[in-house]
Amino acid sequence: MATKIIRHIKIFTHLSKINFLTSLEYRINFITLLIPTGLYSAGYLFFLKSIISKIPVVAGWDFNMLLLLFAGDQFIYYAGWYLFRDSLRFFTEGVKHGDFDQVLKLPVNARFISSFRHQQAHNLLAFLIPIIICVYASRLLNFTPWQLLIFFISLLLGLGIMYNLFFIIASLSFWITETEDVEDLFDETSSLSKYPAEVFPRWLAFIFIFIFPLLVVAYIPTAVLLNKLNVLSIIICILMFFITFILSQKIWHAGLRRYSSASS
Amino acid sequence: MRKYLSFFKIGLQLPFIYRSKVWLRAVRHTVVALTFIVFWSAVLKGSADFSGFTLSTLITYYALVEIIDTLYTQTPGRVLAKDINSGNLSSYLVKPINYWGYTFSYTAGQQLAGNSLSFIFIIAAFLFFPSHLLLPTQSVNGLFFVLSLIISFLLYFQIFFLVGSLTFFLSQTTFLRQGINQIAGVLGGKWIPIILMPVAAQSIIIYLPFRFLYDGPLKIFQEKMIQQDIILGLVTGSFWLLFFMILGRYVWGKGIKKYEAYGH
Repeated sequence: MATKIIRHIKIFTHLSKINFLTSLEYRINFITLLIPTGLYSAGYLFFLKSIISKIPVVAGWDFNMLLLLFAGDQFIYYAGWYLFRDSLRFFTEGVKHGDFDQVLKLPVNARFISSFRHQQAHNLLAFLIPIIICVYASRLLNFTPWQLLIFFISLLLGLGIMYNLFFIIASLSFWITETEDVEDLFDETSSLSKYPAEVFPRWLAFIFIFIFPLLVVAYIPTAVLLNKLNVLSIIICILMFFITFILSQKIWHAGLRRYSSASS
Repeated sequence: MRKYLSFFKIGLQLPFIYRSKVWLRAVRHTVVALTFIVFWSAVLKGSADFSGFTLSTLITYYALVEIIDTLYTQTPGRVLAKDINSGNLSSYLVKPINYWGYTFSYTAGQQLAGNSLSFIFIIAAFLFFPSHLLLPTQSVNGLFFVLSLIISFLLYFQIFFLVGSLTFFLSQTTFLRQGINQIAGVLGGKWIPIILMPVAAQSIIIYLPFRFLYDGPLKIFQEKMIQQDIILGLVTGSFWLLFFMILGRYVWGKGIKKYEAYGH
């Protein structure tokens, strides 16, 4: 098991290097990507500032708290784009065009290679945005290193949940020809994770935590960091990570059994 | 004219190749509108209004933002950039058609058909929730609203046609296009009505064309403008449209002289 993990880490490192070098072909993308990403963040800050200037606290969350939540959400968003979003698009295209056989023939775990083959290295610079927002929002809130460590670990769990959900959607390509719009719909819905759970009616918050765990991704880590939730709430993140992982594995295997292609 | 009508018809038929796309798009727009509504419900909890906006007027605002958003597309920018980069533009240049006319009629058809269900969803919402979604009391405002929508659609199209034309000089305009889309959303009033923004921001926005994209038509619909201001707004919007048409034509003309492709 350990050797398998080490081997996959090595493959991931090699892929990262290759993808980074490929990205350097268009160096300008590293900078120009900051235009839409920066403007999106600026737009959201502007939106919040306009509201907070008139109502200082929304559902028990002040401006800095909402900023921290947004930073967590954006961290997961860009990490997703860097790590797996592009690869999953290639995967769904491969299934559609019958090229997926070539992935299955590789001497490596097919789920792993389908998920992490193509990384968008220029998204690395976009990480600066959530980091800057996080530092700015935390300037008045004294967090201990321990609190920040738990925040970071729970965000990683959130990223894992997001990956599992996106992988489930990508796996639907075994049944549906066009999954791009399902992905777009999910992308739009997942933007809910930048709002605190207190904003939603209780029944809806319950759905977004335990059934469709979008609020687990950024809300729980931030609420724990801000002492709005007990640290034990992280258990929900762990639980939802494993549930979504098992579900994604089941759908993936069912899809693999169904997959067929001709003359590829 | 007949050939452009054919392109329009092709555009109309295209979204129905994958009908599920039309459904998913409608659900996506509904989700976005509902997210804003849920968030604003939390903001307004305990207070009757927010700087003159009641919950009903805000619900109407965001429902209409989604209607308007269904009309807008970055397709002219995206398609033109793709055609320039691939050299495919040559195949249009040698045909007895105007590229602008082709893109316009094709895009208009595609937007109309692709979002037909979204329109029906939102119009049905207006019928079923008359207390939350408020129609204009004067029919003349409805007419002005439609007129302003036509100008906004053309303006948005023209802005992105201009961005697409920049591909002649920049080769990669994806992030620039996305950036301008974000600016249009933030400064146009997609996220928040301009009147709710800080006064300093409002004084800048008034000189920019983006306010005609969302805020202008919505102010007309919600009867927040007197007739004289509406006419002035429509005239100013038309001037911006003319400005972008002239600029777009100029950039296109310069670009065509620079453009070269072989093997097509």
